[in-house]
Amino acid sequence: MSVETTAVAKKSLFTPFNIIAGIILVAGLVVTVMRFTGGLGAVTNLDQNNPWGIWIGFDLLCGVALAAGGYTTSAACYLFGLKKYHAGVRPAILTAFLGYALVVFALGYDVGRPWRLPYPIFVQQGTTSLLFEVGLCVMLYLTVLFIEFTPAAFEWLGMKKIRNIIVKMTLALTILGVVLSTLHQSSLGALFTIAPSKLHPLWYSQYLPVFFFVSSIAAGLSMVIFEGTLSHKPMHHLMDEEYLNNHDDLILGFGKAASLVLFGYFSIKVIGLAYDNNWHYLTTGYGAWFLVEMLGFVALPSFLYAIGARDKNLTVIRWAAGLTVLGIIVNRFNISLVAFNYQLPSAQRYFPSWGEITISLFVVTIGVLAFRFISTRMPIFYEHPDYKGEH
Amino acid sequence: MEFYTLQDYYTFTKGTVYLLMGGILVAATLYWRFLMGGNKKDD
Amino acid sequence: MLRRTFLGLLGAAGASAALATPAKAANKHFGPHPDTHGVLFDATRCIGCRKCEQACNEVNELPEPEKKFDDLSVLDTVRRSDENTFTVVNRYQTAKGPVFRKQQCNHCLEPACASACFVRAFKKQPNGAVTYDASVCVGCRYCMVACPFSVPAYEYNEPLTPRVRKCTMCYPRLQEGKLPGCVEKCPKEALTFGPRAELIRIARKRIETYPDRYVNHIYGEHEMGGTSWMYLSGVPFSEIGMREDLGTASAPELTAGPLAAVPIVVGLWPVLLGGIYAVTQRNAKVANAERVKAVKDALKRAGDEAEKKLHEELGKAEQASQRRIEVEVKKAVEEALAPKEEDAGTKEEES
Repeated sequence: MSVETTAVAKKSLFTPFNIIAGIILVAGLVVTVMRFTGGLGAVTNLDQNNPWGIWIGFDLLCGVALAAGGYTTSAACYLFGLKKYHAGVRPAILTAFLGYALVVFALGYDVGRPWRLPYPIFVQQGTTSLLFEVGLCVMLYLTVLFIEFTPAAFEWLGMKKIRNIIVKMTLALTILGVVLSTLHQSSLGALFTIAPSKLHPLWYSQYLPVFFFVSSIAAGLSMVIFEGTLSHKPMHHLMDEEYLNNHDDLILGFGKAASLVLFGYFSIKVIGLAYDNNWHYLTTGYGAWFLVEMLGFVALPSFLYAIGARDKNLTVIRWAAGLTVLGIIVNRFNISLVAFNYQLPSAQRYFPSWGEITISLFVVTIGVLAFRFISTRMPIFYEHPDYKGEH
Repeated sequence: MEFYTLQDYYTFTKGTVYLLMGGILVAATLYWRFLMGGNKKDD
Repeated sequence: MLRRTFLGLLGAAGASAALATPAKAANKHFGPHPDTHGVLFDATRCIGCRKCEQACNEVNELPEPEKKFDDLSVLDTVRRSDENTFTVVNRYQTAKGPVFRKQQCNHCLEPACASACFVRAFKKQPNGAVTYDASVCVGCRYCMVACPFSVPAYEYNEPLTPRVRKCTMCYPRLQEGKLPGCVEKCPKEALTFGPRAELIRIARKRIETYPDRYVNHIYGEHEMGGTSWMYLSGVPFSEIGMREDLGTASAPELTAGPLAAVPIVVGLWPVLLGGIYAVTQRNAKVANAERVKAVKDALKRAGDEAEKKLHEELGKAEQASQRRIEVEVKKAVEEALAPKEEDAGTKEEES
């Protein structure tokens, strides 16, 4: 009798999502063993001409760009005083924190000696390197994000005093977060300024840092909308009044902002074309793909966002957000994989291996599972009753 | 101080700059608190 | 949002635009080190015997390759250096017949690998060699991305101790006063080792003396800021697999702009963002105060109006009650008077 009731009361662990996640986790562990017993060659398609693959192109570049929701949302709420976005800050910070943590985790697979990752900061500083800049800022920002995340954990643990101390630091942390984000988002783009002979002229520019920074703003805003849309149904029972009441406002506001930022981004990309006099490349094969990226994944979502904002149509905004997120991935892939080494014959070009794809999926899955674990236990989508109304 | 390559020159100057950046962030925090302090009189 | 975007773009664009042209560090000119040596390769002298490859393999104690060094069939394919091969000779079919070129690290004056490395694992030595320190290398492979000649190779099959591998210009041998292995072994004197300035003079002399034999260009004199390993050729360099579109800007010059913008962000963003915060706070405070005042005023007005109304109503009520009293009095008087008139009427009838 009691067995029956417990069987009914317990929700099955074997949901379709969990099963797929489980398979990916197992596959990831297998590839991990292969990576550290056989080296990068055993698991990747990297070679002497193509040293960077999707672990850099996707896990690092896309991961960092799409985690930009943390600094954009907290800046909107705390620096620009848009209090109605307050309920969106914690989910955005959590997404960003997990995103950056997983970037570092993924780097552990890509670099030859991951235990030496602290070397550039603590042993010998290559200060002329933009990668040094990226590494330093990512490390610092990960720390900032972690600290910004801890109040939710402390509220869950009932540790009031330390929680209050950290909340007092919000302004400083937010400003530091924007500073560090500006630096590493732009420096990731600047990485490629060192190799003009290897990046197709339509994507190479001395403005790469500006392009990466501005597009990261659009990416962050869009990811907040995107993540908010994805989590709305499964996490609905956790969302409190403040979150739900302001949710639509947030979508509208961020949509409007994203439309404007994308317009600005499009404009400066056109300026980049003119600055390097690259118009004639537009009629080539690469040119066609460049136009697809600019028109289909920048101009179009900008318009859709605008239409959605004008008509107060949340569905259109959500679609625009998805398109923008996809566009950021297309852009980062273009710069690191498609337009990079464009001068090589196709036989020497790179394509990801199953091992690389597995690890990238593995990393994303861990992120989703961690997000679910934390947001279903800690005050992320709702305010902890002991701290209600505290801004 | 003789630098034979731009690389060596930049290694030196950027190193100094990074240290300065850390200092500026600290100084900015302190200066902000100084600036926003004083008698809080609401007019 | 509009403010932030505008300011952000302005700041970043301003910083970037101002520094977009690679600056030789504002008029400063550097080096090269007076002791910088190099190697001059003469493609018109090379016969593709691969003895240099063999020497390199022996001197660096590299593993035996699959095909022996006297097997010239390997020249049928264009090869590149890899983790166990620091140099290769390739054959190219040109208008002047087959031409051979030796590929190895060019030991740039401003090495892109050194500029890119975030642990300073690469160093341009005073004697010209660009050396690699495996004891700090993290294995990020950014040097491989940065090198315009795609020289550095990686030990992808080493699980725990992979290294970057490339020609060292036989730095240890140079310290001992010896020649690089390949230079010593070359039977045709296609390779000449010496001070870089001297090599350039020699190269110019050869071109001058045999103008029909050579293309009038010393490859590496200025490319990517200049290299220590330079080339002479009898055919256009692009025909022997060398890129002629690299430009003369070195890697440090290419990244100078972005690097310079970094500290400006740190110096100005806190001021900008702090300012935005302060202004937003002030605006919110003023708006709040205005709102409070508006509510107070509205309440006062409502109170005044209510009082006025009350006064009016009271006045009206008082008037109404006055009138009512008057009406009652009138009625009472009329009633009082009426029976008198009736009595008067009946009295008249009686008399």
